[in-house]
Amino acid sequence: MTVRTTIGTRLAVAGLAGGFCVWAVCFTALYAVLSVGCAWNWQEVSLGGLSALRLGLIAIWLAHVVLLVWLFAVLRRQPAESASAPAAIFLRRAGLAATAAAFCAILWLGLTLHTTQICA
Amino acid sequence: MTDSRATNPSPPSPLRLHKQLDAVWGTPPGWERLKAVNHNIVGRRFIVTAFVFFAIGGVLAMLIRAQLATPRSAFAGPEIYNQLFTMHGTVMMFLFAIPMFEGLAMYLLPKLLGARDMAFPRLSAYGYWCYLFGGAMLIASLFAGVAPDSGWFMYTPLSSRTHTPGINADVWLLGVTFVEISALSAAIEIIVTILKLRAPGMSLDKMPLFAWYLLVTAFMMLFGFPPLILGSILLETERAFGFPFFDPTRGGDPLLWQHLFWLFGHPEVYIIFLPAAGAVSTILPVLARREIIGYTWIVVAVVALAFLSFGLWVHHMFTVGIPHLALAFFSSASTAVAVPTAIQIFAWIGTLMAGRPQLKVPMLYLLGFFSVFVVGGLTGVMLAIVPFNWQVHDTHFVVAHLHYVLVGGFVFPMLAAAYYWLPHFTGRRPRYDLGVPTFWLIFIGFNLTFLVMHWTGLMGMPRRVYTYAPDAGWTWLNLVSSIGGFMMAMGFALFAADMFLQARFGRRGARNPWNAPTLDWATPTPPPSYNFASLPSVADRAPLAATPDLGVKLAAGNGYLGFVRDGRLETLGVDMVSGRINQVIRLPSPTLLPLVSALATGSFFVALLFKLYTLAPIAFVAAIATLLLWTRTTGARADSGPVAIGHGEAALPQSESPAAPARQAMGLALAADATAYLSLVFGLLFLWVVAPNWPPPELFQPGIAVSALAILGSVVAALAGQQAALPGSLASGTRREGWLALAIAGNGLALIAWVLLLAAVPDPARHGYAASVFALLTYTALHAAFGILFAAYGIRRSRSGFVSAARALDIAVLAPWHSFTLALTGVTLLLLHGLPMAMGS
Repeated sequence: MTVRTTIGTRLAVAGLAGGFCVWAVCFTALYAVLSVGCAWNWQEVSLGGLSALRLGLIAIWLAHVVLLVWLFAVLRRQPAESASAPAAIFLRRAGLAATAAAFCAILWLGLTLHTTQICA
Repeated sequence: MTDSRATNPSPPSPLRLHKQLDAVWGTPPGWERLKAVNHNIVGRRFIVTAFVFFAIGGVLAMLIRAQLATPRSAFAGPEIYNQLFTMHGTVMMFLFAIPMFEGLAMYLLPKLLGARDMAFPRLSAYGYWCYLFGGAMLIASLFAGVAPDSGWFMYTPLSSRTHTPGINADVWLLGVTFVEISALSAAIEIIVTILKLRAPGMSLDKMPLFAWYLLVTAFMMLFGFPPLILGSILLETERAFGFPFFDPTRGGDPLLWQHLFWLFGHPEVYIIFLPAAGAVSTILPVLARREIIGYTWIVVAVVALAFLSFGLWVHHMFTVGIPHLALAFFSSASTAVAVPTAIQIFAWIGTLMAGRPQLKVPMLYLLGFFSVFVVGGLTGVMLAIVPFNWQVHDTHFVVAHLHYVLVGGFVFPMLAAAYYWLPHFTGRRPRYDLGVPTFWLIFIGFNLTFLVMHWTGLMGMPRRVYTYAPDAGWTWLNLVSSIGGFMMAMGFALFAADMFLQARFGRRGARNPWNAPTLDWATPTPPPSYNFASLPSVADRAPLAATPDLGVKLAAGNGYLGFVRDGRLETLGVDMVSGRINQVIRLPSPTLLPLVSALATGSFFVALLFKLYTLAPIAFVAAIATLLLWTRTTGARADSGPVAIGHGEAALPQSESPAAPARQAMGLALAADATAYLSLVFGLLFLWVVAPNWPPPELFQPGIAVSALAILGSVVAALAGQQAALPGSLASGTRREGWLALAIAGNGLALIAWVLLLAAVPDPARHGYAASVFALLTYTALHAAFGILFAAYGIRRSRSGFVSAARALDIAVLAPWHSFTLALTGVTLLLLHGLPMAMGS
């Protein structure tokens, strides 16, 4: 196995868990910022007609969406040589699928940001 | 790896090879069985013990149903009833479900992977004894009338000293923590075994699905259990010393307990379900007579399910007053988790449709699993929706749902697994005379018991009430439920009888009665202590389908390691991804040490339970000392270079391999450690943001000089630890021991600083802030103290001749500890200095 393919395989392994790690960090950050924001009344600060807290939450969410898109693109660009071994093919495919699934999960999570009052 | 220096011995005759291997791997009978560390014995012990606890939990359930069968029943009063339902939940979750899966994993994993044992057999045995003693402690409290009585979730303030003044809650907190040692040790062992101890050629894409399921489950345990253990320690500290982590009058918050408990508690549901689903994914394709559909999709679904399951815990807390948007986050994850679950179910159904299913008894239980678990899953989606959850919260609807999920998702697959693998355990042919009526008794009894509970719940019957009024309208439904419960109990009794009769009187049969393709059926049945006389090379996901006589070939010594070298217990280690051989792993012989260590550990917990606080530290030191004694028989005193493994190939012994299992185990242990620490940090921040009666009456102002001393000591220790493990240092005894001595000095300085800081903390019993600061400092100080111990251990190993430039394991495995302690130092000091500034602003 060449150095290049080793790196590719490692990235593929990271892809299997990486996408959902991004989802988990996003989830935790949203919950933490919401809790702190509600405790300190950030929802009452208005920015362009929207509450600063809601805007902050949307910004956090968008940053993670972008991160997931970037991760997916990196995994897709894996060198062709890494796909020569069956394990590498499997890991690349599974990594891409897991990242795509994490993308769906983060979109589903993002829908909630517009649905309800923030701190009620 | 090949090397001309290593000479491959020619394999002896199959019978002679068996005798040689059995002499080395076998465990003598009689009292010598107490020394057993072999996975076949320890795995069976876990399974049998878990089944005994299941029977005890079942009897408790029958007592609950007897009480609720009629209104105003005088069968059991409220005090006894509280103990009954608390112990029923505790026994089923902690003493049955998790250990049953651990036992099955220990028994099956090495066989499925083509190895001779687990990675750390003594750890398996230690975990078993901790489980047995911790479980016995809990059950003994039941007979003494002081069993836990605050529910299996131990909510504060009910479980606090004020409302539970006896030792009932202490029994739970200490007993469960004791038992959870076995869960954490099993998690580490399962992960390392799956990633390192596979058959040559078994790359990740060729790994059996069961191993994928167990791998993901073990990772979930690694991150799921530390919050519970940490929470239990905090609550016990509150009960014993008055540190008010959960007392809102002194800056604590009962909700912190709920968060810590359910951070563990909801992933726990999937920790229980996933191994059972792994069994389904193994058994179902065999009985459907075709390869499973969607291998890759199932792996992705299991990974997705594991992550999502950590984002659901607040759906147990929808009614506690959390902001609506936060409820929406958790509702989102709670509904999303149904998708990867459904993917697996569709893959199983698709496999059945595309195959030629055989309606044998294991399949009957799998069909039972499908119907029951899908109902439980659908009511789970209902409960994930906040308004519906509010309506049925704390009613019998939830009781019905959780039993449909847990019994459907775990018990039915385990019953299928019992019938499927019984011929493997016993070497006897399966019979179905009792299996079919047993299934119908359990299936009908289960649905009679719990289907009607949906109705009683929707009619408003609350959980955890010991009686109800005759005019509530729940009488006949409860009676039906109780009749169903007793019918199910008869089914389980029949199941136990069936297992016993088949094991005792069944006719001897040939191996692999199911024509299964996985390696577990390549061993003789019942399996010998060493599983395989020689180790297979795998080129396919279905090795037995590709080579049906593989078992015979391996028994003849035609695989790897088809010989005994110097009376050693050897198996092969491989690269995690590719499955290429990279080391020969030497495993330990039977020893009493795991039992002795577990007894010392048990003494520590018993001392805490009976408030013998002078004895507790002695027991703790004894436990650590006995654990260190384990290392006397590990390692090598001379470099050997690559050794022969058969087929003209050679590999490094693990003591000289940079990929030794112990290194990975240390990384995993630190991951669990970090999770516990972060849970503590979360606790402090949670109290600061949410708890009433903040800011605290007195802030802690750590001195700059003392803090600098802590940083200096930790940096020196971390750098010295890293330097000691570098090739240049390893080559010279004086140099490596010098670096380790410096690591001791660094940790010593840091420890002095932590003790000085601890002495300056305001009274921890006054406020949650001071209690949290005290806990953070103690946690970090303990790491510095262990750093001293580990560095001293490194010096001792070096002086005893176990370390060289090639044999770096003893030094390298402990180097990350010092770096981890440095990280803790940084975060702890940041919090101690930063929080008062933030609160002051």
